Amino acid sequence: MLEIYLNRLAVWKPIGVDGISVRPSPSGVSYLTKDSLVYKQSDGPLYRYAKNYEAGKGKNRVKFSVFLRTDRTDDQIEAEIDEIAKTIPQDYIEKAIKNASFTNFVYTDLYIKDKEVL
Amino acid sequence: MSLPYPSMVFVPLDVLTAEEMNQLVANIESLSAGTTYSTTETVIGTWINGKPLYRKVIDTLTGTGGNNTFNLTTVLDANIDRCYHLDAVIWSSTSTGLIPPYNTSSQDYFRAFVGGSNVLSISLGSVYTSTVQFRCVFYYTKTTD
Repeated sequence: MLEIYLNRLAVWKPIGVDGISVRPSPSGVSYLTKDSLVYKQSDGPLYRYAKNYEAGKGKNRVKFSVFLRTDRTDDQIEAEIDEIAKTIPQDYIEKAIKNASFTNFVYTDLYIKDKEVL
Repeated sequence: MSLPYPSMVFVPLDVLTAEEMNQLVANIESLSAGTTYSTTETVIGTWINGKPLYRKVIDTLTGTGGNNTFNLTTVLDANIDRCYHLDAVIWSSTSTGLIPPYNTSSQDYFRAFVGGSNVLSISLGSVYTSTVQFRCVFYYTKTTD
């Protein structure tokens, strides 16, 4: 699934840095939203957030990353991702990182709040 | 290997800007440069203790044997932590080039060591009675890292 879903969390293998990674994308990116399967086009930059997390205990401990794209720029995003990342089931994470590549990642059904809701 | 842009992080669906493409190319060129021996101090990797490992070629040094020791502060920093490897070739007016240590006797030694003040020194055995020249490649870590 290589579409961009706005505000939707994806699970992937660990990224190269710990801490939050943020990078803007050029405007004009096509994306889908939670409520609409019709593509929209961004008229400003979308921001990609990515951060590493760990799940499980002992031998079952796994490191993974969560990333998403959003048009939000507020400072609550990282805390919101932190909270949601805790709720991702471990078997889901293991399955995601097992086959992770630049063309293979797994979207969750979890979203951060829309800009309009805030 | 120390990259010009070490913190580049990409995830699926990222679109690279022209600037990021240039940064990637700079990283690739830096990796390629890592195989080029240079008289400029170059980071070539990370030692097992996590410190950067440096390599530096000293093109030509001149010294006199006879159990002489001389430090290399004029060509290397005075903050060497450990020197882990040394390649060298040594020659004099009567030899065309020897790779030391070519003899393990007490007379023919060629030693490199890090002294108490973090200075790398070289000492030559007594057999080197005349002025000799040598070319070295040092691999070392630094106290400043």
